[in-house]
Amino acid sequence: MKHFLDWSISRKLSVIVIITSGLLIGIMAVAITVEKVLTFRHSVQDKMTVLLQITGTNSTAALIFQDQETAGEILSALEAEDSVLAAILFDADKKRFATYTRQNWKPEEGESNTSGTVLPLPSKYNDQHIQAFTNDRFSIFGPVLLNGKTIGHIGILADLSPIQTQIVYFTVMLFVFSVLLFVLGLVITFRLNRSLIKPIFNLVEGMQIVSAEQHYGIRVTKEREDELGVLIDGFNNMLSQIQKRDYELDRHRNQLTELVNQRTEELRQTNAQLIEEIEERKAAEAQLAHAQKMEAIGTLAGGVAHDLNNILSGIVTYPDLLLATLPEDSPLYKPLNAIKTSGSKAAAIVQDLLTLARRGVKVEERVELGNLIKDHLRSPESLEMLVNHPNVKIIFEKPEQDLPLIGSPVHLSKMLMNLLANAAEAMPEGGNIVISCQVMRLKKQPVGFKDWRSGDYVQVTIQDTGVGIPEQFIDRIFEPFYSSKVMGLSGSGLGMAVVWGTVEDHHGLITVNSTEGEGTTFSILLPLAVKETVSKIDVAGNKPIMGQGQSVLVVDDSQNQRMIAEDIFIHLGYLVETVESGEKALEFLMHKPMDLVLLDMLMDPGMDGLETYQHILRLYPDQKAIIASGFASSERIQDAIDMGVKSYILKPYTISDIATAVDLALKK
Amino acid sequence: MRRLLLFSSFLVMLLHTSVSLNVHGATEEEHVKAVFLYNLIHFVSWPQETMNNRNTFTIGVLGDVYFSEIVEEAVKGEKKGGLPIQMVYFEDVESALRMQPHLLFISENYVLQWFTSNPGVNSLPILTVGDSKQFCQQGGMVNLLNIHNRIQIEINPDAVEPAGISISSKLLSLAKLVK
Repeated sequence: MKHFLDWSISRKLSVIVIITSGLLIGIMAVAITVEKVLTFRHSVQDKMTVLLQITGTNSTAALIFQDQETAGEILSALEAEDSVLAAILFDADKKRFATYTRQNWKPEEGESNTSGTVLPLPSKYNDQHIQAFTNDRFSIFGPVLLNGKTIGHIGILADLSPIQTQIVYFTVMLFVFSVLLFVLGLVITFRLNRSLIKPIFNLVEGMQIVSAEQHYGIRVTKEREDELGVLIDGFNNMLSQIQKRDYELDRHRNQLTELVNQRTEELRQTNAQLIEEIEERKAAEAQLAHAQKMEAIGTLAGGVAHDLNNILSGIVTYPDLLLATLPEDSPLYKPLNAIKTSGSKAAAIVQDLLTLARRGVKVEERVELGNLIKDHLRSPESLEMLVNHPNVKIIFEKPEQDLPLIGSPVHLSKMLMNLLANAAEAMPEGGNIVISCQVMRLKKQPVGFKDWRSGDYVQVTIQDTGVGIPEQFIDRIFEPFYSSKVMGLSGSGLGMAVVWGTVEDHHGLITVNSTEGEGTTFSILLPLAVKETVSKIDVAGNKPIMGQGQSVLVVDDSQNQRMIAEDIFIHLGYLVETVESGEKALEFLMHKPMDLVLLDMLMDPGMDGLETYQHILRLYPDQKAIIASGFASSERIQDAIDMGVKSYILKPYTISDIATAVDLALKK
Repeated sequence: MRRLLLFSSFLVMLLHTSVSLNVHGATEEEHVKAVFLYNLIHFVSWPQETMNNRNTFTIGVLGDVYFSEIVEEAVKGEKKGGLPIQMVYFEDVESALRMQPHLLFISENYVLQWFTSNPGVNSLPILTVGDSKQFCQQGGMVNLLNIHNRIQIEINPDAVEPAGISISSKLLSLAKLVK
């Protein structure tokens, strides 16, 4: 059985069809033969029974009326039926009454009794119908009835040989027909088998290709709409779905790869951004730490400077007053002049300290940077530096466009001076210092630029080819009094600190790039100006401008300062009054208007200069005033200027400072 | 059973008679004729009204009282079409015409008288049976003749037809047809 199951479907189908059709045809042939034999037998039975009854019925009269001749004639009528060999009529006593035998027929053994009587009544006959098939004979006996009464008996002997010949003939024909049918069935089976199996072979071939080559693009040709057609459709659909699935998988894989790449790129960018932010944060933290440190230093320096300012006022101002009254050949003139010079230098240091503290008086003055640099390079300080460094050459080409800034030209010049001095000192063997200016628009906040605002900036770079600054020192070069072998030696030790403070005051950013042995580049970003502003008082010439007896009220909480100011104003020809506070000034002015008021910005306790000025304006909206301050926030001074203060002067002021400022204020 | 015995004995007697006619003479012949007379009714059909309107099937014998007794003995207890058979003897034609039996055996002496008695006698539904030589020629329907000691049946179909009586072909195949 297993061997059979392992056969090919074609072979199995062939064998099954051969066996099945053979069995069916054989069974059919046997059944037909049997049915035919039975039908023939029944046919003979029926026919002979009918003949028996008809003949018997027709013989009743002959029997009743004892007419043997007529009875014989009636029996002779059976000659018309070829199969009837003999017929015999018996009377009621079962004695032969009439007989018919076919011509040329001789009874065989068993068809006559010992006395030679043809077709004797069977011994088991008991007046009921009886029949029997023997070899090729059929015999039947039955009673002859008249009105239900048996008046005789009749028997017929039939010859079955023609029928049997027919049966044999039929059987042979049936066998031949069966064989032909079987052969025809085989031919049809083989053809159908080939036709039926072909789609399976196609399917198997397709599967082998798919299996061997992983080629899902092939399709098996469907030839019919039967179950194999459905199977092929299913196979093709399966291939389509696999193709579609593969396509989707490829697409998803590609998408996934793309997504991974995209995510990786995003991650990389995020990581880079994070690193950049960390760097920026570190830089900002460093900047903040530096700023805090500078702020602390500035606070200290500012406190010191404030006190020194008041002390220096006497040292600077009184020699000035004394020198004005002494002839130049006086033996005191030179010492007094030396005192004044020293005092002025001390005052300059104090101003550096104030700049460092970023509490220096801020002047919002329109400055053209190109001119400022150019002027500075021609200044005595710059020329003196070049004399001290004969091998150093400064290269600067003034840009064609204006570079307007709002700021302090003094501080900017000082910043420039300090940077150039440092550059020169970094090049002991000499070299070029290149100054360049470039306008740029900053839309994005540079790292560490806390005062950044979107707008136009000028980038000033000062590049030297000096010894460079070691990396570990770069963060500390702006610290006050920090010095190293590589840094230049400024006069006060505050040079780079002043540079840093100046840049901060001008809302700028300074960065340093230095490579040891190659040189250093300072880059300074400064916002370009957008509005006009007041001008700082420039110190006039040697001779102070004298007053015309105008009235001046000096408001200062420092008695020393009030006394100095009073002496100066008297010296300059003004009528002067002094009060020690803002409140006293208001009270005074209510009773006596003054042409000019000199206001100290910082007064303690009570109102400061700005508040006092605000109240004075309520009394006299056109009141002219000057602010004097050695230590005041830039914003408060700016507010005062915005309210109408004509000018401001730095403490400790000189006679010339006062004369110029007062004259300017009164003229305005 | 009784009828079967009677029938069997009658057949035995019949055979015996056919063999012994020459020995016993007319008596044996009368018995055979009486049986034939009875047997005739199995092969003859009468009009339906003659069967429905009667309580008995009547066999009459005209003019031969001796033969009537033999016939009465032969049909005793028998039936025809569900009706008991009644044997009636007629002394004259009028009484027979009056009763109109289903079958009437007419002895030789009354044949002429019967057929001349009434113009419509031939259309009466009476099967007329005789045993004289010219019976059928005289208008009779069935004649039982003794020819060579065998009873020969003669039938006149033309006489039968007007009476509405039909005779079985089986009987006709045995009989000699005369006109």
